[in-house]
Amino acid sequence: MGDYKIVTYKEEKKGLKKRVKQMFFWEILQGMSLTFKYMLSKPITMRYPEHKWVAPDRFRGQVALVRDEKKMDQDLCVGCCLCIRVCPSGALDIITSMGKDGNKVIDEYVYDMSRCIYCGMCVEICPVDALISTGNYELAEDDMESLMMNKEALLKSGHRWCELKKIMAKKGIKSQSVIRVKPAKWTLERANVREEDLEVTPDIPNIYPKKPM
Amino acid sequence: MLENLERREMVLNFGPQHPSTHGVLRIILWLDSEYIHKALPCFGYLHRGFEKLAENKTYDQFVPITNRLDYLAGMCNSYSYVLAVEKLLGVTAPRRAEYIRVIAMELSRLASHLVWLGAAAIDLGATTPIMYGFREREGILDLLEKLSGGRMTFAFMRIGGVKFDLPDGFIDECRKFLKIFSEKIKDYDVLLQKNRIWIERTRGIGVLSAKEAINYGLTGPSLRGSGVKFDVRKNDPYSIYPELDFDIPVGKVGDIYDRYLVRREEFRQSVRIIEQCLDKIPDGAIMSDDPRVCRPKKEDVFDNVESLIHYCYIAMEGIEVPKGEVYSRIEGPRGEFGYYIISQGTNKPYRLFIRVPTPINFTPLNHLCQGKLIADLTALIGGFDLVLGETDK
Ligand code: SF4
Ligand code: SF4
Repeated sequence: MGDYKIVTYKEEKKGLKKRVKQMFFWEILQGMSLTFKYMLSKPITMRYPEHKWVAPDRFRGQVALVRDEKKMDQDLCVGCCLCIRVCPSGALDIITSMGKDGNKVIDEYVYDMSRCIYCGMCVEICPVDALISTGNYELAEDDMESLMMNKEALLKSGHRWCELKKIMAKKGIKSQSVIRVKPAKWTLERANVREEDLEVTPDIPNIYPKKPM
Repeated sequence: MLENLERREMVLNFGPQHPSTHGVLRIILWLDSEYIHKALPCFGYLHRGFEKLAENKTYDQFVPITNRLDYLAGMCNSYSYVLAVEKLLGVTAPRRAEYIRVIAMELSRLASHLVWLGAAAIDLGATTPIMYGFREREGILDLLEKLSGGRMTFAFMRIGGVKFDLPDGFIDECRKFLKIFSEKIKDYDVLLQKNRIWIERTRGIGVLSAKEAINYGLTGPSLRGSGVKFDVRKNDPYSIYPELDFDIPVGKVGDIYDRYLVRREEFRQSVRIIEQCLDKIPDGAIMSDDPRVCRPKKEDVFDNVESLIHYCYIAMEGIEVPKGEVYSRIEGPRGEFGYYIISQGTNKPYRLFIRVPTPINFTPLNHLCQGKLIADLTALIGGFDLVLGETDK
């Protein structure tokens, strides 16, 4: 269905109207008045890093490991190595050994953030949901060393992220909104954000579906 | 004394750091004062070896990488790839998945054209439209982020379906966005359509006749600007496009202004397509149930040994694609985007060739700039809508 539609330049009719328009730079005045109109309306940008964007639930930030909430001493990860197999960039590695009772024990889990392309394939494949994608997107570091994470760091980061999500749910902060974080605690996930550090900003107008509460 | 004043041909490197080359494009110019004698584009500054990379990845693993080709419209790239693999496998995605794919692709097309609008205008000295273009693009990226979890690198398409279903409230938000967006298209018209400077800088520049455009192998809006009625969505339909009602804008003269008008009209047509999809979208599965591509549910894995084996097999070995060759093509925002895959019956492609529109659209550059000013060259680069990510592969 549908058809081809010809679009091309249309010459304006010659005449007095065109002359007058030409003389007074009519189209340029129009453009300027449009800019002026928007100059008087409220800004729609957010002031990062004072304001922060809360990523949606499906967002794929840094990868982290989680534990079962009830059995905190036990790893959720069963060491099946599927995540390592599907990772397109080889960012993950795992060292396992045989435990006392014959179960597989995860000795070390290595995540190289500098190789990761944040595709979320590892999280998708994990059969026990031991891996999660956090909404943490502020991952710049001074040195390459800090971009390597081991099992302990991954578990800590996963735990913090779950805590932060609880805080945000309690405060009623929805995903895809803008929040204000007190200046000293600019990095959302890494710097252990406490409940009182998060504020809800009301001052960005709502022109697109996203904007804040 | 006098021989020092003799006019000599000067060789100048335009780019790769020049702000109006839209990335890392280098053009070697042979100049006589400000007039161009010859122009030679040099590609390859962003070469990442995609085609070789694909030979070492399983079919599944290559999906997130396809998004990095044409980073302005990631959904279209991945769709073309999964379409090729699906053709080889003989798998078809469920209808709901196809609708979601088309919505995502058309949103991507809008986002890409918005960047083009701003970038082409900023090359010619109009710094305002890019602000408005990016404002609307922000709304699109938010929708796509909600849908797929990424703003530019979506990793959303899967062989045999899509990764996620539409999130709650997506349809309403999308409708709301489209309504605002249709209003905002008028802003661009005010700024550019009738603007005397824009018209003077683009009309009659870079004129390609229909025959020349076909001979140079142009596709997409650059070809349609010359008045050739060719659009892969109509001429070689794929997905659900035959069921949708939309027009294809074609130009007449073949200059930059007509290419601008074609893209501007595509805004409206894309909005029409998305609106129809939102109205018609059926319920159902989002992933094909073919056992070669579909993994068992995670809940079943630890209860059922067959599911466990199947799950691990697909995860460890990837999808095995039968022996054969296939070419798939789609209409990307810049033209025909295709993948040619040779499979030897293993889980990795034997050879994968990517047909990207930008470098081919750019071949008439030397022909078009002869005897023109450098200022026209920036207008030409803008008019062809370059993306260096896909040019250099
Ligand atoms: S997100 Fe992708 S690249 Fe990163 S670790 Fe997971 S599978 Fe690998
Ligand atoms: S896929 Fe999940 S369970 Fe298996 S090794 Fe990776 S994190 Fe552990």
